[in-house]
Amino acid sequence: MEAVIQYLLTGLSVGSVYAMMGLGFYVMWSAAKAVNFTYGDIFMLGAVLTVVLMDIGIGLLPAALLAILASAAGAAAIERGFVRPFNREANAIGWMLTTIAVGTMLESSTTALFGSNPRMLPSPLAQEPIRLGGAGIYPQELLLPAALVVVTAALELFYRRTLLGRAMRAVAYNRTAAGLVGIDADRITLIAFALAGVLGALAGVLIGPVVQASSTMGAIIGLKGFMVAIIAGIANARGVVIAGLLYGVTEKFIEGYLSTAARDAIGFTLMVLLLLLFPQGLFGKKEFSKV
Amino acid sequence: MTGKLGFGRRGAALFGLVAMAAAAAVPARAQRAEPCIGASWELTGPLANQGLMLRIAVETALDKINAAGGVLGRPLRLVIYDDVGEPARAVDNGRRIGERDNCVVMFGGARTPNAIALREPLAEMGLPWIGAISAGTGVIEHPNGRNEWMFRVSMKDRWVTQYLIEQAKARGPSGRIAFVYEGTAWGQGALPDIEAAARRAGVTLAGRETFNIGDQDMSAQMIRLRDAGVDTVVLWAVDRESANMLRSMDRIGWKPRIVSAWGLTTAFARAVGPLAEGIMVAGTFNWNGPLSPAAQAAFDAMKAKFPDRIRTTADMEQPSAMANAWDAVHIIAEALKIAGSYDRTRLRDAFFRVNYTGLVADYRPALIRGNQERMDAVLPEAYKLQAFHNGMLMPIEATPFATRTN
Amino acid sequence: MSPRAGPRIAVALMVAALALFPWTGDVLDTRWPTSYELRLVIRAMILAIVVIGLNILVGFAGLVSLGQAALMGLGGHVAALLALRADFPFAAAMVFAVALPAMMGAVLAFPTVRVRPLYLTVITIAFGFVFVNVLREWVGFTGGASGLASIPRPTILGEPLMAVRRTGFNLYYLIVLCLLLALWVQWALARSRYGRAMRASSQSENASRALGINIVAIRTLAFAISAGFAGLGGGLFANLALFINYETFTFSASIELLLMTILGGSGTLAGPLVGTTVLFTASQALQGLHEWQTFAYGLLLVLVLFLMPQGIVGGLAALRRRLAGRGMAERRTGAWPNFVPGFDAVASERDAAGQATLITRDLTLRFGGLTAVNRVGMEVASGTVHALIGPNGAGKSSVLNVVSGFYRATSGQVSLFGETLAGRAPHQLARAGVARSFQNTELFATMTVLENVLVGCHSRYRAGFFATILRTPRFRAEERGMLAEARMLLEVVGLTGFAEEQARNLPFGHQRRLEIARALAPRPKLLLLDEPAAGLTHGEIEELVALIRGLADRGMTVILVEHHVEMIMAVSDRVTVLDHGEVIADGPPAQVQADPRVIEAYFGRGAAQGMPAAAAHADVPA
Repeated sequence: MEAVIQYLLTGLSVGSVYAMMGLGFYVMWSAAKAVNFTYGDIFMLGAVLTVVLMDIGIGLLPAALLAILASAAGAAAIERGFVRPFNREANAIGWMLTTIAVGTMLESSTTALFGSNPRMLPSPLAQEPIRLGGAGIYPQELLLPAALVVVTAALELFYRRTLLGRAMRAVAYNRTAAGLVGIDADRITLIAFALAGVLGALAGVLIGPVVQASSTMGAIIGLKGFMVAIIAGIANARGVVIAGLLYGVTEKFIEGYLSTAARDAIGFTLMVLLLLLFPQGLFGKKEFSKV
Repeated sequence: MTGKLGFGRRGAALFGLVAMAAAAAVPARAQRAEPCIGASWELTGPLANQGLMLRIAVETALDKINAAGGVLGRPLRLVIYDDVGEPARAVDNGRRIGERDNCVVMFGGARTPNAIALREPLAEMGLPWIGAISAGTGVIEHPNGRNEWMFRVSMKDRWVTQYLIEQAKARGPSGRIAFVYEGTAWGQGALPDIEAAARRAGVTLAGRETFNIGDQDMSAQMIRLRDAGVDTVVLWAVDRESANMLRSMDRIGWKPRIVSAWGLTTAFARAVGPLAEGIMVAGTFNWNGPLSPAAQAAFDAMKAKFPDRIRTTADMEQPSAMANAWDAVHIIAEALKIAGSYDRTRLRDAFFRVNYTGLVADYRPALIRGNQERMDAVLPEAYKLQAFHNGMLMPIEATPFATRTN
Repeated sequence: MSPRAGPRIAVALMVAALALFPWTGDVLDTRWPTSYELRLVIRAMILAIVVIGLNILVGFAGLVSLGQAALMGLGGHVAALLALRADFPFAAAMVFAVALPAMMGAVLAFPTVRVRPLYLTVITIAFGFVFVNVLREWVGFTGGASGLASIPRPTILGEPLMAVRRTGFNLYYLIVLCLLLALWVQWALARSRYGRAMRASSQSENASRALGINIVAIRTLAFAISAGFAGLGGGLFANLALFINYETFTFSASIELLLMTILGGSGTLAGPLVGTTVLFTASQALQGLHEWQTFAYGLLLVLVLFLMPQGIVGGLAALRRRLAGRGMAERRTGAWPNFVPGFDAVASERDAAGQATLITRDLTLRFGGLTAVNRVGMEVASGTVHALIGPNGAGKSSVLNVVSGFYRATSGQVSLFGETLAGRAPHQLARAGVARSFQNTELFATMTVLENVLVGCHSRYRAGFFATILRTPRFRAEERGMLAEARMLLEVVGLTGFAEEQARNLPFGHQRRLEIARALAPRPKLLLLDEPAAGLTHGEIEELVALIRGLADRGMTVILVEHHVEMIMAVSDRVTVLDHGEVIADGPPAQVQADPRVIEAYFGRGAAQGMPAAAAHADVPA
């Protein structure tokens, strides 16, 4: 029983990371019909920059805030420099390659400058775990689902209630038409990528104290976030969140009752099967292809 | 694994081929080689730090040798290539070192599969290889029993497992020992070794758990081990995953005794803080304890040459590997002097005649011909137990954990 | 110099250079190439084989795989395991090393490419991770992370396969041979209906389906071929290295393969060779930068992608085109319709005269709560021009889409050529004799005008896949016949002078003409034209009328959706009027024109006619 509690707790915490990453992919995909494959590195930058800023004497919270802002600016720069110029045609794939190349540069330069060793990101909430019988969890890890709820709600409000958010939805729905009614779709896309950058870096900062900051911490997380978004149907924020949490918990139960070593093989196979069963994604709507 | 299945006929055929290949390569080898040590290390990626630490040790050692006039009147230089941790790239680099650069010897990197992939190309080129990290038993003890070119100044997993099981048994009152290893060639390769060692020591392993590189949560494994009543963990992993494992133990409130292979370094202690206290690590050398004059001189030289990387002994992040590498360079230099020329075959033969007192051990002789087991220069007698204390990896005698519980 | 001579000389030079390379030292009297250089060239050739396969997938079919290295690894491990555990001889092991990944490719592609091309990318990422994970954990079978060492050295004709002088560099030459084979397949594919169908399906799914191309099949074929090449490369690699483990086939290796494809110029024939050579050389040359080399590698890629977004070969080709300055101005536009003598044969596969070509009964189509077509019954007689008119949103295009198979009717019956059609796919209907044009022209933009028409001939070829790749005499005769017919169709619409131009460069009116020529290529019995006059000048409309009349006179049945009243009156034999998805009038043009309900439906609404509403049909990118 305590094992089940443990898997649920850690599953929700890691699932929150997948969900936040998935949300970021959703935000980017909606606006641009393209994503930033360096997104795992944005996640990494959130944590690594916090450590670097703390090294020069800045406190945890301001350092985290600065790191998130810097990562968001980086994400926006990537959109402007490496996605937009390579996403002009309907089925363009150039953005996939440029962002992968930039990701390579980000990760390798971080390794060269920051070192390949993981570093501790000290947080008072990751010192003493809260114990529930034989299970336990760091308060820092509980912060993740909490942050996820806040972020999701804020995102919904933003999309529904603010002018900018509505403009973003308009661009997502029909870029050309949005342009016709005077929305600067390019600017909206830039902002969407920056927003995604905030989400990714925030996830990195929040999980950093538990898993340490290192230059390679983002690679797999980024991919899993992308897969989660796709499985969910990438067109529905709440769906992405649910899929992310489910995947996190599922991973833990696979580790607990099937195999730890083959976790990814089983998890990815599950995702593939789901995708084959639900070609529109778990929460996607059926699209009519217009002729 | 594969060799055991069909050794007889296929092994012989393979040997024949290798011999033929070696014969075919004679003209190349008869040429004089260049005074260089070629290295294929990981300079990028998650284990880049190991490459960097090896570079610090080897370059400093070469500086010292060259300052004293070099070897056979010529300065010995280091050529480094990155293998990105991938065997195919390591073989590319090996060919480059052996053929284009025509180096007299090759220096190995961290990963066991890279060394295994090099077995045949090295034999074909007749290029001696010296490893300072990759501890896989099969690197030196080839399944066909015909290793002629690969040597090691490092630990050997078969001996390390035995050493760790003995230590665990000596310190654990109940004998409930579990093995936790990373899903790499190093970790998986040690599994049969530890099973054998446990059998020999009359211990039944109470659990075997594994995790993958990059894993961030090992709660499931730790819960299983705790519920199996394990009190001592033999650990086979590197810093990052070990730190995450410690976190998982802390989460579920379980604190077993941990004796680890040498994957744990000061970076681990920095990452987990006080949780590292008391964890024991096998190694060949420790820079944080009292140093011999030779070791002190080596450290001072490294500190002088790489001032922004090495400030205190705690910055020697691969303490054992750096000492191994330091000794390996000196063994190469000694052997070259005995060989009398920059000739690979003569260098290889000279290795068996080197007697040298190094940081890690007194190598007398360093290596023995025709005995695969003794193509490892560091014997188990030289293994030292160390422990984390106050965030530092110290010789066990310098910590409160020296006394055994039984 | 003929335009073909350049590539031929380049290929001859390359073959000569590859053939002589191992012996360079004897000529120059140096110890070069050493086994290092030989190994690099061999490794590059193996990668090039894999990249050629990927180019067929990415450059032709427009699909992206991020798991190609895993398929390569599958081939490698199949070859290694068969040799090591089952004593398979080299050739037999290689057959499986190619066949198993190809089959795996088909299994991965078949269910996914139907939905969204992006899904294939996602599935291949997942496959790559699962593959690596399984290899790593199945220690007893694959050796786990330690891999498979001591793979027995293969022999061929009793001689060990090695790239050394003693064996005459037989391994090297074997791999050269495989590379040339891969290049041949790529070339033969590009110049065949399969290659054209792949490119067409990547540029317009709808148009491809309307021309009888089975999108799922052609994409599955593309991925199977590319996976087969990956397997070939992997098998060769295992036999070169004699050691294999998963680390060579990770996600980053897949990315590297994709980068090689794009860098060289995806879709070009020389691209894979150039991309592989440049990136492979770069990864060796950047070694001097130590810990910064991966960074430099990324930087190099970004620079190339910025300077040459179409890749090196694609960029150079574009540059050459611009320098050559072949303007459109010199192109002569022919008069149309120009019913050349041979044309009757094309239009002669008529439906039995007098029989109704199309009968719909109670045809209903709903999208959710919206009823687009409501109980429509109409009959189109063979060899007539039947106009379908009505205000915007009346359901005209929806009827057309049901008849051509793009939408599935919610209820009601449709019978075509005397057969009831239930749930048949567009490509099946196209093969049965239905052709169509699109409201917003859907040309294959980067293919030439001639190729566009040739795609239309796709379903009429009889030569199978292997005959096509081997370019048998029978295939070549067939290809010549199709080419002649395609040229004749261009003659009919007056576009002969533009045959080699890319379709996207045509002026709008010419694009309409091309679309009609392309629709005629499958020799349809029923031609559906969706607002063919939209955007045409007055003169062009008159010519279009002459064409449609000419087709009907030759026995073809034409259904015309149009707003242009004058044109309808001039060309139609019969008119059906729809409003709000229902038939409100049906009869000869003069009668319909006088019908008060029609006048009300039309002139009660007024101005919006004449112009198709572009926004309503803006495609949602999938």
